[in-house]
Amino acid sequence: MNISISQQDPVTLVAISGSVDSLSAEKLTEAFTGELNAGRVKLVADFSAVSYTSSAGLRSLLGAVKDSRRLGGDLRIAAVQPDVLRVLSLSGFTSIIKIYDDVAAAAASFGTAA
Amino acid sequence: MNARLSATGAPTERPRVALVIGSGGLKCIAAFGAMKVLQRESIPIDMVVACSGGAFCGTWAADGGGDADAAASYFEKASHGMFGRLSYRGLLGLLLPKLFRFDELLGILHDAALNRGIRDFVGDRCFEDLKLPLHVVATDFDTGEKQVFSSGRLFDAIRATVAIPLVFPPWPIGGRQMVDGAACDPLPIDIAVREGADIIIAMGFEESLQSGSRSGMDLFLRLKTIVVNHLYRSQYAFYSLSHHAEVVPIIPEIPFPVGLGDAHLIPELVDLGAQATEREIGYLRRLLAADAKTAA
Repeated sequence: MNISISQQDPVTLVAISGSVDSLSAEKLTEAFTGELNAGRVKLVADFSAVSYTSSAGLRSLLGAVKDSRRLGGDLRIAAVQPDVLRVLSLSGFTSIIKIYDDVAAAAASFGTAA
Repeated sequence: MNARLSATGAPTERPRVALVIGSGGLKCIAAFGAMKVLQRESIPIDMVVACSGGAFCGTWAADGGGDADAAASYFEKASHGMFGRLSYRGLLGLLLPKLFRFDELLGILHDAALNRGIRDFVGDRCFEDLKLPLHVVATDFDTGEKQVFSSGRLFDAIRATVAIPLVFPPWPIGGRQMVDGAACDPLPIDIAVREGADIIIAMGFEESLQSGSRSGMDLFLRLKTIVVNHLYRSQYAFYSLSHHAEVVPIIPEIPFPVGLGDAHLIPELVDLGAQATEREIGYLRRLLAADAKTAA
């Protein structure tokens, strides 16, 4: 899994590629924690290149959602591929996390309903 | 995955792998397709947990598996006539409960053929005769509590967990009436967690909603489908997120309705089960390889 972080003020874009699973979840958690500790709490995870997610990946995402909301921000997810969306749906994430068709819509959502 | 350490701090061997096969009626036959792929890839399985229709393939897998196509063919032949014969006594009791004395121990289908089919499959064998630990989930009809059978006669546990309320009569075990495990635990990941699994291969099935209801029974089954589907998702979500065990879901996409009597669909269901497993096999391989590397 690769992670690339960029700023699109006031939003931090976390572009993830590959598999979000137990072999990579720690790296993802560290990336989210680093941003949150730096005060960047409005996060958009670009999932357009995420091919797989497992329960460990879901736990990492859930932790970041909880921490960002506790700090007054949010983690929103963009451009989820169908196979990954199935797992997010099955695990109830589509009910508790805001998911957008693309990064632009996810970033724009912070301007309207942050 | 973090290295698993023993009480002395030394790395243990490879992770314990559980195969969980949830409820889904005849759809559970897709688990034979999953087993084909898991066996081909030499994915080790240390325990099996099964519920409702999943108990058939679960028992076969816990008995060491083998030729999955042959096993599916066996069930294709065995299931003909197993689910078809109406019990007029049960049906009339359901429709006119006062006149025909409704009895909760009756179902609208006769269970003689079902019982014969299960006996032909397992005979008088017990859980203790299997090669791997097997845990079968049923529901205590009186208390609503989950009951997990891991020892004793296989026939009783299988018959209990497939007793769809109103369709088949409950099955008595130890003085308690047992019904379908799907009523309390349609995807029993929790039992695999409890038994110490590190990797849980969870094969689950959502029931497809039939459009329209032509009878009270249709309406009841539709409502049951909605409730069980939500229970299934809730349990998957909870146990995936609340525990360290890695849950690898295998969810076949079955684009057509499957009834209990649709034995002709079995080869297609096996293929769909295999396809769904192929999608997860890369991750399973990497997961086991990484763990072996960590332990070394």
